[in-house]
This record gives sequence, C-alpha cells and structure tokens, in this order.
Amino acid sequence: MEEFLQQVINGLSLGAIYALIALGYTMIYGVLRFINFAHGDVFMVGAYIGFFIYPLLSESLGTGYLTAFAVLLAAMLGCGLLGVTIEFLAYRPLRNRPKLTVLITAIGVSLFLEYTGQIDFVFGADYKTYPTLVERSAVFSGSGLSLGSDQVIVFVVAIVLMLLLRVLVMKTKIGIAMRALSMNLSAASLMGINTNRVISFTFFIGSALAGAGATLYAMSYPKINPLMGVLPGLKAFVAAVLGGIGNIPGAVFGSFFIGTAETMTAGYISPTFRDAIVFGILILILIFKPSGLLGKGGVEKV
Amino acid sequence: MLQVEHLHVNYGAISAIKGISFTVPERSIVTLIGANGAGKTTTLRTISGLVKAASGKILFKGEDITSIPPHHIVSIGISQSPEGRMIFPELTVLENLKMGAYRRKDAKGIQEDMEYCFNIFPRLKERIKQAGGTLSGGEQQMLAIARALMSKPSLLLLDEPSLGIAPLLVKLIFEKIVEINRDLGTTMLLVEQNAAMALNIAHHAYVLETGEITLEGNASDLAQNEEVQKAYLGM
Repeated sequence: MEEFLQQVINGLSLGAIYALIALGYTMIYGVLRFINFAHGDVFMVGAYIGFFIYPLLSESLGTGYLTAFAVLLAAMLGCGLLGVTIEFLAYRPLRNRPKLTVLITAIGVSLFLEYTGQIDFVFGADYKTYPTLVERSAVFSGSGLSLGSDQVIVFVVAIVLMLLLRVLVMKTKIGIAMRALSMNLSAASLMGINTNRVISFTFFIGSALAGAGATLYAMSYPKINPLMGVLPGLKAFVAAVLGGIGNIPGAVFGSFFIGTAETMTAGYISPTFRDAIVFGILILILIFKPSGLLGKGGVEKV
Repeated sequence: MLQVEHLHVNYGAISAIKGISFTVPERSIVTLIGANGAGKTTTLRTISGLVKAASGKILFKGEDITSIPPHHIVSIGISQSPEGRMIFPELTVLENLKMGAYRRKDAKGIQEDMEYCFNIFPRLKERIKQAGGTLSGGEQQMLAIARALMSKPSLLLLDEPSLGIAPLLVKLIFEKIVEINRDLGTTMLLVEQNAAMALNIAHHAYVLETGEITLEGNASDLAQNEEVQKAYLGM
C-alpha cells in the first residue's frame, strides 16, 4: 500500500511537470491548429537559462528561495520571449499556407534548437549539472512513504501557475479573446481583435509555462543537455492528445494520467517500459478515441 | 458614407468581383441582392478587410480603407454580422457581446449599449449566461447583430440575416434592423438572398450577378421591376 501511494505521489509530481509543458502544446494548438514540435526544445532552453543565470543571481541574492524564485521567473520570461520569436520568424510568414508546411517548419525549428544547442560555445553537447536551487529535504517520511521538498515545490508552483492560467483564460479580456480566436479566427478579427497580437501572447504564455516546467524538471533531474527536451516534450504531447488537444483541463488531466502511468509502470513492471507505456497509450487513444478523453468529437472542417 | 469604386477581388485565378461600384449614403439602408455565388459575401469580407482587393478603392467617410487590416476597420466604425452568424459557441452570450466591444475602453458606454441590445432583443437578456452555441438559429442571429452593434459602428454590414431562420423570426429580425437604423442612425449595408424582405426595408438596392452589378435603383422601384420580380421575387 505504501509503495502504491509513493508511486502515486511520484507520478503526480512528474505529471505536474508534464502538465506545464502540455498546456503550451494545447494552447498553441487551440489558436493555430498545429502542433508546435519545437515546444520540447523551448523547454530545454528553459533549463539552460536557469543553469546560466543561477550563478549571477546567487551572487546578489544569495542562495535560497528568493533566488530559486528569480531563476523560475527568468526561465519563464526567457522561454516566453523565445516562443514569441519563433512564432514571429518561423510560423507567421506561413500563416496562410497548408498546415503541413507549418508542421514541417516546427520540426525544423526543433532540430535547429537541439543542434545549435550542442555547439561548444552555445550549450555544448555534454551533460551539465543543474544547480541545486533548493536543498532537498524530506517534508514527510515514515511508514515507507516519503515526500521531498522538491516534490512539494513542484506541486505548489504547478498548481499556482495552473490556477493563474485558468483565471487568465476564463476571466480576462485577452483570455476570452484567446478562446474566441480558437473558436473562429475570422469572427475574432471581425470583433476588432488583433489576431496576431493574441497569437503572440498565446505563444508567450505557453512557452513561459514550459520554462517553469523546465526549472522544476531540472530541480528533480539535474543532469541537463540539449536533447533533454525531446522525451518530456513528446510525453507532454501525448498527455495533451490524451486529454483532447486544444482542451486546457484535458491537458492537465492527461498529464497527471501519463505521469502516474509512467511511474506505476516503472515501479511494478519494469523501468525499461516507462517510455513504452506512454507511447502505447498514445496508440490506444488514437485508435479508440482520437479526440481525446475530454475532447469534443466531430470532424474538423478544412 | 461608404463608396466602393471599381472593386475587383480574385480568389487565386478566379475573379469573384469584377469591378463593382456602389455607394451607401449616411443613415440609409442599402441592400445588395443576388443569387448564391454572386459575390455578395466576398464584397462584405473585402470591406471588412478579411479579403484583399485586387484593384479598386473602398472609401469610408472619404478616406481610403482598401488595405487596412480587419481589427482596424472595426476601430474606425465598421462592423459586420457575418454570414452563418459565427457566434463563439463556447462563450456565453455576455462574453460574445463583450468581444463585440473589444476595442472600446468606455465601460459606461459599453454598459449603455448592452442595455440597448437587451432592449431590442429581450431574448438575449434571458439567455445571458448561456453558451452561444446552445441558442437557436434565430437567437444566434440576434446575438450576431447585437455583438456587431457593441463596437458602436457608424456602418453595419449585415450578411444574410435571414439565412436558415424560421420565417416568423426573419420578420422580427428585419423589423429590428429598421428599428436600429431609426434609433441609432446606423448606416446599413445589407446583403440578402431573400430579396423580397431586403427590398421591403431598404432605401436603395443593387443587384449583383456573378461579380457584376446589373441593376440598381430605389428599392421600391426595383421591387416593381419585371426582371427582378422574375429572377428574385418568384413572381
């Protein structure tokens, strides 16, 4: 029983990180109807932003929660700006082209970030050790169950960000505009909504969440390298598809599901299968419910 | 108020609008009637900036607005109730109306205009918290018109407000269009396949056939015109 609960805790904390990444996929899909395959690499850059900025910040702010928070904000801001830049340079010129063109471009951007990152004077191809933002301690342990401070931080940060996102999307004018645009782009522009600006804003928010996810991920798994975004990116993408791509609560639900499935598989079957199970779920969902668990069915009009 | 001069619009190699010219005087209701595919919707989409003109000019209050982006067109006072209504289905009636007022900052004015919309379409007030997609076709049309009014336009473009709506509601909606024109002095450009209804409320009318204007005149005169009667009024 304890072991099961432990796997649930581990799974949910991994899922919370996936959720932060998956939200970006699903939001960007919502407004532009394409999968931003470079999203996982934006996540990777987020980890490097923390890696490079930590020494500078800790010099003036010391070590501790304030610095950790500043690193988180820096990664979010940096990733947000990177996302906006990618959209502006790579996707916007292709706005009225077939979706496949944009999709292939996204793969190009992804490879560009991965391989530019591996150049020595950029990030370098070797593994770097992410700084310890917060000393790890056991918040709770006993009867075979342990909850680390890093896991608590992951939950708190992820949940706060998700709640903020919910308020943004449901209550604010730009959030409602984002939803309006995802329902009907030409109707949105007939309302006087500057659609390009809302799209940029969506990329900023989605990418900033990936930056937050990267900071939390690197805290838990401190070995970082330029290809580190590939697997978490793909898994978060699977989570978004599982929940129903374009659906924000769906992405969160799917992520917790995928995270838990992954740790359960690793714990009870074999760690070797932890990646296989995720993509197995993808195959099953694509066969039996391609619109996702919370997604709306129906044929997309082209 | 609106002058369209020698407007040409192409979709790829196909020319949809072949050099049309017409004017919409201030405070009037002008209608463009014509069959499916005549280019009526394309004309409105070009005025709103959703489609680019190949050549020709669109003048609004004397200024050239031919290549202005759609969100800017709304700011200068032109809004559109589009064909098929294009309600945001998952936004509530209230949120839909707020989106109509997206570019406005005057909270008080927005509130007043919303009251006006609820006054002419009381049904919308009853359904204020309901998702747009759950409304009936007629209610969605009311919402589309109200939403377009929320930007406080001086020129309102109405694309087929009768499309797919029960005849009784069509009559009501056309009465409301006249009422809005009278109350607010909003200039209207109405595009319709339902020529009888359109000619009944419009002051001036143009007949559009495969991208060209073939007839124009006073709306009541056109309603008496034999060709129009035969082709569009089913007489």
